[in-house]
Amino acid sequence: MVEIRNLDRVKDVFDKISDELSQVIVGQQEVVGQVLVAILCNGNALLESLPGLAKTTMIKSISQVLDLQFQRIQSTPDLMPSDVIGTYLIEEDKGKKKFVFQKGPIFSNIVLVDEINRATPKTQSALLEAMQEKQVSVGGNTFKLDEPFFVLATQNPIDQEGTYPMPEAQTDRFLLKILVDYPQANEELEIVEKFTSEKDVPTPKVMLSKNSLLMLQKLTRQIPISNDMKKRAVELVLKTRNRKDIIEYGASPRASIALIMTAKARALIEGRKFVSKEDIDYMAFPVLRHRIILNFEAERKGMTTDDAIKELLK
Amino acid sequence: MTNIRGLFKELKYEIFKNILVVTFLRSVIAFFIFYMFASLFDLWYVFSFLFAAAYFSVRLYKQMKRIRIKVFEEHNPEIKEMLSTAADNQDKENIVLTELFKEVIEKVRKLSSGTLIVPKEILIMIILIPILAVASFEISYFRIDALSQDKIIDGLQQIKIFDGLLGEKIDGDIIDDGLLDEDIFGEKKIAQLGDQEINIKMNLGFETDLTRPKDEDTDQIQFKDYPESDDVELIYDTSVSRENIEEDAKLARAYNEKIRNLK
Repeated sequence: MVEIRNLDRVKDVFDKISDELSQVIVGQQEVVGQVLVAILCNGNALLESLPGLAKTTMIKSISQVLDLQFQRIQSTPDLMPSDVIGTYLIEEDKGKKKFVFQKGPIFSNIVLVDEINRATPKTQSALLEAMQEKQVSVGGNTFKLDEPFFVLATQNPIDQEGTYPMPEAQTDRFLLKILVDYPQANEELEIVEKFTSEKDVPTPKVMLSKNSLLMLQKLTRQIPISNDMKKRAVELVLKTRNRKDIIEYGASPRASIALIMTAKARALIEGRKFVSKEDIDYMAFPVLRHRIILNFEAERKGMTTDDAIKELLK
Repeated sequence: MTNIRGLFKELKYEIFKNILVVTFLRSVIAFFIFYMFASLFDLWYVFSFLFAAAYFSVRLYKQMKRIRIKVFEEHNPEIKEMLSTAADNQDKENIVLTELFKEVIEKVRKLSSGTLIVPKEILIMIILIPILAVASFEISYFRIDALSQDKIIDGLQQIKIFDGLLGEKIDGDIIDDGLLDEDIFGEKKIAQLGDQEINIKMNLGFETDLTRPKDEDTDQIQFKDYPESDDVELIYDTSVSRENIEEDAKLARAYNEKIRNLK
């Protein structure tokens, strides 16, 4: 249980986590922040990024800082569900053969699923089921996944040939869709300096224990929110359904829940004991961008979902 | 929990005090404005008090509906979100809320209730009140007869529904023949009496029977025994009694003899 006297130190803890991660990851502070928000909300995140932007390095570093187990799954078209969740194998023990369940890479705290859109729909469903239920069912047996459990799935926005794009019904299950952009010039200079020098890149130290993280996840839910902010969040989601001039299909109530939860998590990371308007507005983008479908007119104008969200926030 | 509720009660009380002060000042201004109007048209000053009291009551009643924490939030935007979150969750309890309530109490205590007052508004009202007081005093010397109470009543009497409610109407007119001396008789107007019978109470010593012929004896008494003198002249006045005339005549004779002796 997190002691009351430690509540004011929560911001310090997250500041230290950011500082520790910055030793390995250059820039990308917004991305790191949003990943931490997803972890605190006990949700999963979809990362849209071009190749070579340190996605694996980032999530691996986060798992090290949070003292969590990390596994990586590279999706390919021939990836089977059993490759992800595990399967029964026959083992011989003292002359007797028995089935032993071999756990798949999904039995970890943090799982990076690279290029999830390359996996077959069957494999995607197995993964999504595990994400949703925090458990897997194999051969009539149910195996609970360890807590905390976080899946960071990535998608490559280019190179769409031979991919199985996830339908909106499935992307809706991801709490956030985080966009990763190229670094700035000065950041890229720093990256080059760090990774081409003779010095080894330092391994991040553990800043938060697993138990503390579980407590912080419970604490996130306790962050209070005013009625005005709740209304603001709900009205924003309702607008996605009413603005037929730009949006064909709006977000579901799952988006309202996600928006409030992520706003609470952000407030906790920022060291505030209440949700502010700024939290709602900031989290609106990663929460809604994968849950709305623009109409033809908006797409013809070259509008993106972020542009549509900006329009709704006015 | 009780502390935060106590705090919100205090805040509401501060808001109420502020509303009371501002409403009172506005009522004072309303009083003086109406008093100027009332004194200009010679209306009873009590109407001004009544008007101000009514204004105070109505405005206070309307403002009482505004006693909400949101009023404090509007005047202190830096703690607005924190305060509204605490207000909306005051019935709940958890670790974070307990810390939030402590923080809210700490920050609100540092703020003064003066943040509720708009200094410019109060200053204007405080400056305006003595100005209006002086103006009311100055204006009270003037009267606009066009709308005096009598004129109002006369005007109302023309309206049939007020028949019999505003006193007896007297027929008559005002004429001006320009014959009379304004200095002695006042305004150059004589009221022409109409057909109605009127009762006039006069001094009993007055001889009012105008049809009675002049008493020649009385005239003779006045001038018969006393020679005419250039020095003193006795003017016959009908209001004076016969005894007074004799006495005055004696005095006049004695005075005339003195003057002759001096010569």
